[in-house]
Amino acid sequence: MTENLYWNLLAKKLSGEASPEELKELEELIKSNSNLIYPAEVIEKLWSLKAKQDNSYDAEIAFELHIENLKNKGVDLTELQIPLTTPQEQPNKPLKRKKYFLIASFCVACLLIVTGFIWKYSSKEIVSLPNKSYSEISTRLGSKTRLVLPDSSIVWLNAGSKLTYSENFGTTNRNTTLSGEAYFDVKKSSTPFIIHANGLQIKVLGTAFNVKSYPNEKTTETSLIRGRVEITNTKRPGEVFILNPNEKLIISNELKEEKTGVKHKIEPKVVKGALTVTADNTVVETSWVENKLIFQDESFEEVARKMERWYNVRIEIKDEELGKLNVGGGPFENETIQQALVALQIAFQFKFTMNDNYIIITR
Amino acid sequence: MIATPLLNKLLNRIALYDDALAYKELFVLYHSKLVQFSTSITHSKESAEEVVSDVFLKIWNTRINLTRIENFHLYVYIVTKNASINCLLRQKKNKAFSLDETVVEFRSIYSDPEQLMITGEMFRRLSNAINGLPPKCRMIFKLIKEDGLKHKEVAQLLNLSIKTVENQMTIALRKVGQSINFNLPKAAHN
Repeated sequence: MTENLYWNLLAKKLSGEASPEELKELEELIKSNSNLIYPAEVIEKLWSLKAKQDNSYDAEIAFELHIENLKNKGVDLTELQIPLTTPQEQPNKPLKRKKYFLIASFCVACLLIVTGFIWKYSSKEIVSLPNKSYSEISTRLGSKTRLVLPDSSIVWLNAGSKLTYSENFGTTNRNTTLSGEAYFDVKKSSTPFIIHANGLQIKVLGTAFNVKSYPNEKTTETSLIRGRVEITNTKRPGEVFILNPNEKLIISNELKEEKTGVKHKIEPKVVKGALTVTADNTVVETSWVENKLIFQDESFEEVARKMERWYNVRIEIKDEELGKLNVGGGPFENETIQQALVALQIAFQFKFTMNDNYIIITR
Repeated sequence: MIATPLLNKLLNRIALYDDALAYKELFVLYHSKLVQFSTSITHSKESAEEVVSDVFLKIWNTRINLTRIENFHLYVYIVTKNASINCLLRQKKNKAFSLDETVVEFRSIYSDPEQLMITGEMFRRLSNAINGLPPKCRMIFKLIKEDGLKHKEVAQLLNLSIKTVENQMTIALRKVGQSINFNLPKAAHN
């Protein structure tokens, strides 16, 4: 009967399902039955034989036929979006960007006025003027979307964000306004692509980058994956910030104090840093585009804000010290908010209660 | 087999962004395996191609939920099996589906026998052993070896107990092992 046990264990080993104890048992069996060694070797070799490389040409043809089938069954094929590039390709590529030298030849000097920052667009609803028409795309909390602009640039909008662009976008201008967070993959063109966000103008010619500018956040962040970006501020002329790939720029926002409605004059702090990359080469700043929520070295307060938008909940941290704690966690992909919080609890001490979509965090 | 991170990336792109390239990549990844699996049930490659196309039609129509499927690899095999059985029943109306009637082809074993580094005589014995496996046993053996399914997944897919799957694999390996080596003790037992 040891023979049957042997094959049983070998089967488990071959499909990768043997526990460490079972593997040990298998080794013992071979040692005490030397005539099992040779068959085992052959079978393991047999197992490693891969099938002949599938003729990918056949699969390609099959796919064409499949699309025909879809058409015949009435599937709306316009929904099949073919992206020009995808953001996850970039973070794993080496730092040298081939397109850099092309864009460098488009150097534009921008004039900036440097004073405070103000909200260029108020948080009230935008009233549409009769002779001005524009397009507006917004996402609710807890959802993301992706859209293709008239000039073929692609924008991924994170939760709770809004992007506006004018009617003649793509022809005479490429101006957009952003509130929230978006990842841009801009098609190269001689018309500069400009994003207005919280008083900043981010000018690009053809690049891939992320802009984070939520109204209730202290800072506006621009992260560059590929290409070149110039950031200016309407209130600060003469100052141009240029980003190179894998860099990011963090600028503090001017926040309205809630109670008095008075605008704080925060000394505008500008910090330039490198993008955060995790151990497995994921760029944290753009991980949301791949539906991954990652926290790296952020205050609990910031984490709570991120989670509020991601899961469409409201989170209140009752303890001020707790809010300042530096936390990290994730990547969270398909977890519920409770599972994510429980995962964070393992590393950081806190309690939470949840009522409907309202979460309270305490010590 | 198909690495899970790669698979998850593809599923994300399809579910969230209607990404045509990812959808095509997924199709190309699974096409030949699923056609072969379906053929073993429907006995017709033509029917199998139709089945696989319908499976991917379903995947497209329900793409929003793709990321919520716990085990996509197993899921796609289950869907293919059900569609294949339906196709079979439609064509041969009085027959019920039985595992014993499946015809299983192996791709990997015969592609490069030299790599096994055994004599031609031994390879002949080995092929005979594999060909001589009963249909259910062959199906299980193939699903684990070539399709990368785990014992538990095969059990779920074929509606068998895990014990049965393990026993069948034990039998298959023992027969193959015996064919290469006549000196095994108790070789007479079958």
